[in-house]
Amino acid sequence: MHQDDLIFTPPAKPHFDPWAYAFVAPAVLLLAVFLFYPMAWMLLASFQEHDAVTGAAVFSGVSAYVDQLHSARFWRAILNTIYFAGIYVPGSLAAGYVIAALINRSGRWRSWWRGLFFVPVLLPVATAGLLWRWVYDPETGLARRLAEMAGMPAVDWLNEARLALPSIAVACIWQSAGLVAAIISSAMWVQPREYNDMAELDGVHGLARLIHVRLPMLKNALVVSMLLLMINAQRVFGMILLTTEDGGPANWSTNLPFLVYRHGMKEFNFSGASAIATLLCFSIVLLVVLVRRYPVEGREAG
Amino acid sequence: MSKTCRVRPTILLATLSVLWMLPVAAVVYEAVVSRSVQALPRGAAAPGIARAAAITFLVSLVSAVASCTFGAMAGYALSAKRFYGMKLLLGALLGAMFLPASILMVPVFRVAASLGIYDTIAALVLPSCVTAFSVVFMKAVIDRISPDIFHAARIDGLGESAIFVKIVLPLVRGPIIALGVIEFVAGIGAMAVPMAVVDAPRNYTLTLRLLDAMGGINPPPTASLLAILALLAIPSVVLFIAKSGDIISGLLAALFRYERVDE
Repeated sequence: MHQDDLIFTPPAKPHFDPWAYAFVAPAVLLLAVFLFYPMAWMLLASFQEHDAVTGAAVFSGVSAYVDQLHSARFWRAILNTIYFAGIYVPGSLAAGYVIAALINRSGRWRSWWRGLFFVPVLLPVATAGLLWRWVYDPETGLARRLAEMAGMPAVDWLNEARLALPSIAVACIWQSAGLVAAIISSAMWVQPREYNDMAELDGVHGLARLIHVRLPMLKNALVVSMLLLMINAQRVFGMILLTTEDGGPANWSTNLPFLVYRHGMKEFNFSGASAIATLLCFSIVLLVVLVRRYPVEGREAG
Repeated sequence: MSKTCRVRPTILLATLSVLWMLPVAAVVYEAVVSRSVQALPRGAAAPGIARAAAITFLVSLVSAVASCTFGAMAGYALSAKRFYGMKLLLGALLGAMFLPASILMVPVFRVAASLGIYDTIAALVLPSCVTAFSVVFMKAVIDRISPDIFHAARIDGLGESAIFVKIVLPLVRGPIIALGVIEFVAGIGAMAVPMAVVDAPRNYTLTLRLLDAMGGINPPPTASLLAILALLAIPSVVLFIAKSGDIISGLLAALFRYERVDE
């Protein structure tokens, strides 16, 4: 064996590497205390009953889960999450695709445009939430002024039971579309043009070309975007807290994270909160596993 | 390609971006122009706002610097080294990365209480001193560096810590700043952890002050609260414009299996 091979080949198998442990130690220590231990506590607490006064915990089996299955609020939160995702996921995908398709044809200003639409993605949650609270403000908000200009009646978007959740979904689409656009546009950038040109020669135009040529080439990018949006749809918390404070008129904008917060921090029902949180974790982790199965080729600079 | 094909997307984009930026522009107008003399000072004069802004800024800054440091260290080990437990660690990080912080409020409160740091600034800083995201982000970024560079440095006699400081860190300077911006912004907007670990108004962050004010009898106008939050977001927006390439490429690589095709 040549000596260089010995030196330049990294050890393929895991071994006891003191330096590696030293490098991960601070992160692992902090995460163990503030993330992994809380997760384990949550899982355990979902199988326990907590005394409201002493805080003492007794094993109670799956009763916390059964209680939730009989709770109207729990099903309301699940339906709300599905309803929300039904608007938010396709909305963000469509908006992201349109933005991506446009910025990829905008020549050398491409990265500038992409950055502009990315600003909402990086806005602090509190800023974005407050911004949309103001947009929907029934007296001074932007939505009301636009409605007045168009000669339409004023609507109290966030306090109208059936409108609260779609209004929040619009705000979340506004925040997410830039990320979806970045994913799709970087995948578009490395697509071969030949298929598109061939389809054009064959006389395949418009919608048919979009459905049969362009979208299939972007399959993985679209699937990954959709899965990420589905994860995000289950995580929304700050936007709901800032726009509707108590989960909306008659729980109409309460989703699962918000219900965890209500149970845990307001009603001191720790087992209930933990049971919902555990179910939510499983649902999110399942989607994360799916996301990792789709590699996306792309190049974002250009 | 004919000229119309070049022009039309730009016009559509300009229209769309105006629509996209309309809420931001309108609120800036509301806060700065239309009530220029009132909104900002009135917001700043609201009780405790200046203190809350200072706490928010410091907490976000310290936790952003810490999570960049610890994230880069752990990310380097996960990317360039092979050690027992690395797959487990990486799996746990990927699974935990997407969990909303709001579902862990009760256990985080309990941890803070049992460590004796409940209702202190330390309780605001420590939980965000490293995030699962920062480690995954830095691993994804360091994965792009050829491991040959580390081996070459090792042969040249550089120690392990020197390789990290002198080789790895300079190579990932852009992405580290990008991660810092992301974490700083997350710190400013954070709601769940501050709500769980802080009680006394003297320890309030801006978001807690905000939630408090919104529920109050005579809430300050949204525009003035927003003006202050926007003020805090300015440094990150400036850094974002400078580092948007690194932010976007790092974010994509951290969120899913992004296989970057180079020219």
